[in-house]
Amino acid sequence: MAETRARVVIVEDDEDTRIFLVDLFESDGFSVRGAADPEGAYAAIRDFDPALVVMDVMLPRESGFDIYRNVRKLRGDLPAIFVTAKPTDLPRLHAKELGASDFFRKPFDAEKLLASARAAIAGGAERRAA
Amino acid sequence: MVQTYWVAIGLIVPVTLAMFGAGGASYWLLLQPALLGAVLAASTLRARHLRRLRELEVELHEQRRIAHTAVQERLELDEAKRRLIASVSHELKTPLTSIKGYTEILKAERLGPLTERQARALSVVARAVSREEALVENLLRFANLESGRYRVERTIFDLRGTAKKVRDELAGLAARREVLLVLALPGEPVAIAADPAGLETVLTHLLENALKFTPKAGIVELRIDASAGRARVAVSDTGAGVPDAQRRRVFEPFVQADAGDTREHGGAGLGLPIVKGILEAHGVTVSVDERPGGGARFRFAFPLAEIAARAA
Repeated sequence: MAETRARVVIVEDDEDTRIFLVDLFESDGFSVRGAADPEGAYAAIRDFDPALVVMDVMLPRESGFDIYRNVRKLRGDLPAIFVTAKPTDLPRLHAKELGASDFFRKPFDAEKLLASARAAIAGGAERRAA
Repeated sequence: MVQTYWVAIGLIVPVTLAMFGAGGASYWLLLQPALLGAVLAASTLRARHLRRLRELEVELHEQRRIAHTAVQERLELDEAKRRLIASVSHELKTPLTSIKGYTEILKAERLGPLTERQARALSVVARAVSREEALVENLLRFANLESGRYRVERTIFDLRGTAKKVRDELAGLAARREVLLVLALPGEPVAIAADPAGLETVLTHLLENALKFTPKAGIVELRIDASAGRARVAVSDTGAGVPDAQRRRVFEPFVQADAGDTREHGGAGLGLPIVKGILEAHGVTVSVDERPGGGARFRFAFPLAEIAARAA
């Protein structure tokens, strides 16, 4: 049977949060792959070809923003949602500047994140079709 | 002192000339030591003053250095404090993400059906998590205000909308505490130029505070009046009020009207300091007095932004 579920890559270095995010998206019918660091993120995005990436901002060695900037060179239409526990307003502005679909502060509302993910995937598909 | 020296020298020459001119050389000889003495005294005085001046200069320099070090230390301390709270908040929020998230999706039965007891248990966890979340949020907000990093971005908006939104959000708390939450708003828009999110936080904390300190069957009122170019906001309650002596202290962090109350009323005592901080960043002062008839009344006022109100 062909995989018809929307694919999502989760990039999150905090293990508990990553396990939760994978569970959350799987519970909503997504096909999910998790990555804990930039290397894992690049590999997952390349091999898994997701419709959306949900990414933490603060990661070891490279920030989520840097990763997204690099990934966009290859897949300009890939939508991203950023999550962060950073207290300042700067990441929100940064995410907006990068053209991210959405931005969430930890601890976020699970249902709101899912709704935003569905909207981002719909928007990304539209961009790809256009 | 330099002048004295030269004045003395200047005197010797003309006086000498005058003496010789008058043929009174003997007078001159008598006068000479006195003049020399005056010159010497003047120069000694000058030297002493110069020495004192140098001492003062050194002292001043030292004082400046001490003051500079103190300022530097204060800045470093502020920065360390800010970093500590920011990093503690970050560390608190990361585990909260999976606790809150799993509680939410378990409750929504996304991971399978729940028994009634399990659902009830999860409701308790969910309530505790939101309390914890609010506490972390307040700590963070307070740290931000303390470090002067909160910058007011003003937009013109109708304060009545904010009041209604906050009332709706606190309706549940008011019902649980069996306190009547009343809104008294004018019929016309009350437009002010302020940070809407900041004002929402201010009204939320003032009302939460009032609800917390008002006994069952009491009344909490949020009144907004627009007159004489001012938007006046008053939050009053029918609680015990704030004693005169404590009126300034209630705006200090980690303090509640009666220190013994902390346990009974809950919270870290950051609500009112946050209110004060946000309003001060707007250039607005908040005050507390007694509501006519008893209870506490918190008040503040903003200039009305009338013309732009229609565009908004």
